[in-house]
Amino acid sequence: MPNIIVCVKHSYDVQQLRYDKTSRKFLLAEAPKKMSDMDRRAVEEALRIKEKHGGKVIALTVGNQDSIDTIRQAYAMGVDEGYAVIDKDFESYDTNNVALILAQAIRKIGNFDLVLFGSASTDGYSRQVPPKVAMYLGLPFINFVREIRLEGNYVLATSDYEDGLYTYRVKLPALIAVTLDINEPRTPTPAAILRASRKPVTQWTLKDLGVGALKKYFEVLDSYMPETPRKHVIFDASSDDKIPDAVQKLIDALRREGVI
Amino acid sequence: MSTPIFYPKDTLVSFTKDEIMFRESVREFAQKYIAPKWIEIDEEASKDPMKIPLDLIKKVADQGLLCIPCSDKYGGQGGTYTMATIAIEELAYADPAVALAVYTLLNNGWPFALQLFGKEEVAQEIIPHVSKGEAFFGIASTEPQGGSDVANIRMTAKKSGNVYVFNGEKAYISGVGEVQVLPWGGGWFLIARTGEAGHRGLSAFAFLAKKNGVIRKGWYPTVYHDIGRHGLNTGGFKCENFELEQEYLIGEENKGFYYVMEGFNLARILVAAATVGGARWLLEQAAQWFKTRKLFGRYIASFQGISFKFAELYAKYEAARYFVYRAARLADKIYIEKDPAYNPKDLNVPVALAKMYGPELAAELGQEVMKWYGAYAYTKESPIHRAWLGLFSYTIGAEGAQNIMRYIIARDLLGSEYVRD
Amino acid sequence: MVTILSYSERADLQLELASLANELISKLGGGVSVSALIGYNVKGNADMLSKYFDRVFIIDSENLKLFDLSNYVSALMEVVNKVKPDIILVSGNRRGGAVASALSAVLDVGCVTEVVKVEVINNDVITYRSAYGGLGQARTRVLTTPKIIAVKPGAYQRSTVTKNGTVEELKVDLKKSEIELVDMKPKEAGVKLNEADIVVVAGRGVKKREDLQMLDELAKILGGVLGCSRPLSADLGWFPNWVGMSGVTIKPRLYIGIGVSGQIQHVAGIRDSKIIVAINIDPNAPIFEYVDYGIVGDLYKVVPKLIDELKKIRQR
Repeated sequence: MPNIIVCVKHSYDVQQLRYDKTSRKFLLAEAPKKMSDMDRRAVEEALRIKEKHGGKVIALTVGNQDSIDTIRQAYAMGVDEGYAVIDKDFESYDTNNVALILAQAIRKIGNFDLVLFGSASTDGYSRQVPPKVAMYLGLPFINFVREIRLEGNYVLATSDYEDGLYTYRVKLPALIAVTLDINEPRTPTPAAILRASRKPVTQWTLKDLGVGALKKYFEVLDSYMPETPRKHVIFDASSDDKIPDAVQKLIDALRREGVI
Repeated sequence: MSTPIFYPKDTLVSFTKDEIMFRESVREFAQKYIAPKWIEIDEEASKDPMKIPLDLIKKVADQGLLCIPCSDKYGGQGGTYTMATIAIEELAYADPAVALAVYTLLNNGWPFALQLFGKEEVAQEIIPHVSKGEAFFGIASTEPQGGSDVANIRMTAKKSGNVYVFNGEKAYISGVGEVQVLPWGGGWFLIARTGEAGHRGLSAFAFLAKKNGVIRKGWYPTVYHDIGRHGLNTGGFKCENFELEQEYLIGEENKGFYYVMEGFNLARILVAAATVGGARWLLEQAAQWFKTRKLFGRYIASFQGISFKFAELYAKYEAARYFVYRAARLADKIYIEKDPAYNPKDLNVPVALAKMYGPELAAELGQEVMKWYGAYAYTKESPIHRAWLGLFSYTIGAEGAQNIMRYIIARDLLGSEYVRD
Repeated sequence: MVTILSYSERADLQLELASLANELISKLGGGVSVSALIGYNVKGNADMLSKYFDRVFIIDSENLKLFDLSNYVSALMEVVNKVKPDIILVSGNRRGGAVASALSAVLDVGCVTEVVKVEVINNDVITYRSAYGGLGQARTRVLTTPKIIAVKPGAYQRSTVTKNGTVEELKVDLKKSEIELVDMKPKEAGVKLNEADIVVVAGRGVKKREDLQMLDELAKILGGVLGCSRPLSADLGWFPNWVGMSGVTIKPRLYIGIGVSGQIQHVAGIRDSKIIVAINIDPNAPIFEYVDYGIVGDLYKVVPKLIDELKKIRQR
């Protein structure tokens, strides 16, 4: 009966992120946020493990006040307990800071067999937090996992590396980070969403975790949409009679560009 | 899937956090399972109207999108009417030919009306099957002589011992195929004459076509070939000495007209929501087209004849959406929160505005987008016509014709004595 | 005088780091480039690496046979303690990115991953990395010494500057890993997409695996290679790897996406291509927002015609 802690991030929905056409800066204030895609798979996987082996699934996040929404989403999916470390300065924290906070929170929750993460967050995409938390907690770590199987006190996990699929076996407790390919996460029903809003979210501050002043390791000077002007010439081949002309025009264009 | 354009920040309606989460959930579900299939469904069912997408109906049911406002004691979701409205808008956005959206809206509005007015045991019997996608439950009011004139319904239901005996004909009814192929069957919130002429002689029934999985005696269905919205079946049926147990009478005898009018109000909100979802899809098709199409070396939206029309239609879309959600919120006040400050009649005008405006916007928009796309839109390769024809169905009928909406608005604003002829 | 330590488990990626190390050394007023060669039975690469780095340290241990992050970090720490680098460059493939991150935790220093470009401005090292899931770019800075920088594979060319470096072996006591490898299914090597001049990419619009032959033919006529978008590899397993944010980043002279819808994560992986072409039946596919040239049409009709016309040109 494993207890599983799943770390989730309330991320910007990059598919819906817009930018100002002149300054090329992102319009973050109006961007919707949601649970990071890979983290949702981690929650889904934890729930599937629970459905098979029993135990308990706990969702944990660190973020601004609005990150509680992500715990609510985890509740709607079916997790048993939700914790949120809330700090108004979250946006300025680097991965070292976030990993340290999560490690402390995981220690405080305690009594876990497995810690799950998404391998990368949808917006940050640094892939740094899971390995760091593993180091801080001294847990064996398996990354880029697309399949998990529990066997008694052991977990088997298949990592997707560039050169092959590696299946590892390790004794619990362990920390595993999953990829998008591990499962298709459930979309909660209206009833589940309504039930979730009645569940309490345990909120902690950094002080509750005994985390003092955080050192600054890394900073973002600015972020922007890089300029890549494209020609946007479209040839219509939507009906058969137009195909020869469209193909010819494309070939002519590519020859003019000197690429063929 | 096209890039969402008119989606992110909702300044029109202030949704609660639960509603936002629900919208994300339905949207993801609909984009994942319905959007990739709607064209195929529309094409297949255009050739054979009995090609009903049973697998997707089951998926919609498993996702908890049927019977959303119904009580959980009947297997409903215990949700709000606003949630049902959100679900329909998103389903129609994913399937702008609106077959799945219409299946879902009927099976939200009418089971809810059954819960409101029907007997406890009947609700217990029917709604759980509807919510699991095993049975259909829609509305059967229209007859061959006309649909809008509800007070002059001719189908009769004569009490004989423990049963009512039905004779007559219903036409242009959604779900005639569905009740035949779904495992439990199902039926309709059906209106038939039990008493005097006029609306005071009408009763409502939970009319079930099957009993113990077998079609009942005296029920003779026909299936129509529609020009759009394929995948949702429409048809008609004759009743020849069709017998239904008396417990399926909804509420009191000869009060059916009042129940069905409230039911229509509820269902019309969802009909209008479907047209708004489809309209959003059409607007996105237009916007994407404008970004890639050039004419005489200019982007086509640089012609003001096009961009101004686009702006006007967008304004209508926002207005329609506002009408829809205002009515949904009001339905929640009346039927979910049971706020004593409101009564069912307060819904008449808000609903009529939504149902008048949404379908007309969607049909106009469909036609304009066809024109903007040019000849490509007239080929079967382009999906625009499918959305247009599907959405157009709502300007004709579906829970009341457009002019009935105008009549309701004028009647409630001016007083019926000035509006009746 | 700066010391720059480079690490990748792959020798070819070490050479990409060598060229960045050389660039930084010259911009920061001179220094030493060091390579950490860590693994099991890896000594054979030392001579090759010594041609491109000033110093090469070997840590070869049976306990490094399996990729156990904590053992790899312990081994790398040994080199770090020995040479006290100012900058640690790591090639940010899947294993490398994790090594860089874990090392940053253990050393308690800052780390930046997904780096595509490094600049020196007023003696300050500015790193450019992708932002918001590949949609944008960010200028960033690591505020500690040493700084750990994980560079995207392919962001730098392999070094051609030859050196005559020293090779030294370090002994480390590594514990036996708690992790056990029970199965390994190698992926076929596949073509090196990030080195090709012309890349044809198959997307979800390609219906059957057999249909890839047609696209492969197109790629061959153009003198290019065939790759795919994420679903064809991750979901269908038709290719060992894919083009995009989470796969391979490419910058060919010509990219042709066929039946590719153009999700942001895919576009992030092709953004630096010189010319981008797309063929898609859906005029509203997002890919058309990023193209130089596009054909709206059925790939099953357009591609054969394109192949025919290109063949005619070849015959002339």
